[in-house]
Amino acid sequence: MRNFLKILSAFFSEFYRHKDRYWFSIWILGLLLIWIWNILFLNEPALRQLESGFLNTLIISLLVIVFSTVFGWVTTLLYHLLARSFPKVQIVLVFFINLIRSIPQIVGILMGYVILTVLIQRGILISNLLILIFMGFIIALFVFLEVFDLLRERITYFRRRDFFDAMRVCGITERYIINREIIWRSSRILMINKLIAIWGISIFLLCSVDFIISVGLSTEVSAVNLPVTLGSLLAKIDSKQDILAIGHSLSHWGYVFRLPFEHLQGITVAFIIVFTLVCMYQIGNGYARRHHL
Amino acid sequence: MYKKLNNHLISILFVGILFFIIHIIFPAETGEEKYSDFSMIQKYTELEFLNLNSPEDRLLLREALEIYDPQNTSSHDSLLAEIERYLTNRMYATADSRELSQVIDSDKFVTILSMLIKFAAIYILVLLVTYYGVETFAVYRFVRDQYRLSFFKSMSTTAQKLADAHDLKTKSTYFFKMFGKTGRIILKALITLTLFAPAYVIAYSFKTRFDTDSLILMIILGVISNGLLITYMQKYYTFLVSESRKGYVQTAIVKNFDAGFIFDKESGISLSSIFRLNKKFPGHIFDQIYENVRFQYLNTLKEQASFLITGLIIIEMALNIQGHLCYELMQNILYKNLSVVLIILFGIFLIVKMTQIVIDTIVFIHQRRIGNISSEESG
Repeated sequence: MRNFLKILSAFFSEFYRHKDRYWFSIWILGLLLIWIWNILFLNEPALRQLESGFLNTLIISLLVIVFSTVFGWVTTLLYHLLARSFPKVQIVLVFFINLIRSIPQIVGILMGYVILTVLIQRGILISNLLILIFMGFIIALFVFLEVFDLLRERITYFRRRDFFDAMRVCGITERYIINREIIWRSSRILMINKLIAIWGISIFLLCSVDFIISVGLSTEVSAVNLPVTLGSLLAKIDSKQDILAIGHSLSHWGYVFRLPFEHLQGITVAFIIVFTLVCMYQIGNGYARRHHL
Repeated sequence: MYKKLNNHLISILFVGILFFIIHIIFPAETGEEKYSDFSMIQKYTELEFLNLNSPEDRLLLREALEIYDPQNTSSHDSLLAEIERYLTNRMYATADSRELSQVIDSDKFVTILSMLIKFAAIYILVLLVTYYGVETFAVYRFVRDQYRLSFFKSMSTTAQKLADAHDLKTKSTYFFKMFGKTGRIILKALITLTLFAPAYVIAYSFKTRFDTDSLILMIILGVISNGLLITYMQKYYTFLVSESRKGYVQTAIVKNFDAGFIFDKESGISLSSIFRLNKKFPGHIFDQIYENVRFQYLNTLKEQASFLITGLIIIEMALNIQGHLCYELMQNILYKNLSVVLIILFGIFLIVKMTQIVIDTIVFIHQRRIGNISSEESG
């Protein structure tokens, strides 16, 4: 018994030490358990919607990561190129970057969705994939500045080190030093950490915007049939009733046991959103701790 | 500082002019134009025998469409959904015709202005409360983490002791200790889930219990929901940890400076000083750590303020809190009242800019006080 406890304790303490892997496993395991539970107790059409809602949310948030990396990287290179060659144009670039920074993310994304609606109504965006890409693009436009800030700080920091001038003297191009030595080799871990945070925030923003649109802007956007996401699923009347049942169970304790059977759709959607946000936060923290950031 | 201030003022001017140009380029729509989007249902509204207001008629229409064209079930759903939206839209437009008028007269402007002031007041209050919360919980966690064992270490130690125990009394004591620790971790998990839950999830969960339209609930949601408190608490905590590893702290500890971190001990930190509004830790090394981190955090405060505004907008829009700025914004986007939308957006932009100006000024004053500023920056 004692040996078994020792082995178990050693295993868990080792697993627990790498908190990013630990929380990633919890996230995957949690999602699997919820999926199995839903296969057993949720009706077929609702399950299909739930699966596509989750997949669409995941795809869009991953697209946000890709776009944010590209935007952040390109803007940083542009920023440093302009600083050397066209300082006045750089001031204009900084002005517009600060302007984007001053727009609350949700307002910017909401306005982007209005444009998306117009594009769909005019038949410019037809396929679901294109719509998903555009949604990812809009969200990335208002979150990529975190990547830009990080890379700008890193380049400014490394420019002051001796190795930068030493490499320049050796005939290595500035572009190579910035892209390969500073961004890729020295800032990759920091960038991944930032991208994990962006992943979490993009899921939060996406779900919130879709919820707002489905609740309040229905005539404006839903008429063009946007892809279903966790946010829009949560805004459906039956999901909302399921969530309302949580409040009911606070005064009727016996009702708690009926929630995971009779109100499964709404509770699952809400739980996936919150659970994913918690796991993303913990994965980010664990990753930062593992790499001593 | 003046350079920064100039940049902020130019931004405000630029956005103001841009919005004015948009307002000129896109004139207000007429009432008929507003409903032209409902192209799918126009042919059905003209049928005399079909009363779209009747649920039975709508169901009959759906069944007829199913028989006529069984392949396109999804487009029939869309059509029905659009009919419902059209009816709701028409009903709201009639009910709110005064509030949603295109013309911005002095009454309308005063209404929007009062909403903006109310929004700004809520924002300032929530910002102050969250700032206090972020700072207090980060300091509390930092002090506690100096001597507390991690959960698994603590659990494995207790489990080991339980396995080693020989008599029933000791065994039951360690068993209850493990039980208590498990209970505490479950409670912590529930609190964490609540803190990360988007405001609309929390609000709908309690909708049957409280008046979710109340101002107080909005403030509470602003503080506890959307992961704001916990995310920025973690950032503040990270600042504290990295500051505590700096050379001057290690030197001070070697020189026998007070560096005990046990709560309410003679050489430790008292709980009351952590929860105080104006935190001071005289004679303790943590006083200097805290002072430095407070200054470093000011730039992150801009980020926190921006995220808070996003959170408040989500709360007002998602919960349909009538009579509030963002509900008004949403309604006016819905009815394409561009001029009102632009005024509200400009108001929100002004709030963000004012926050940035105030924080930049505080940073400038602090830098001048510690003499860490160049003449170029001050000029």
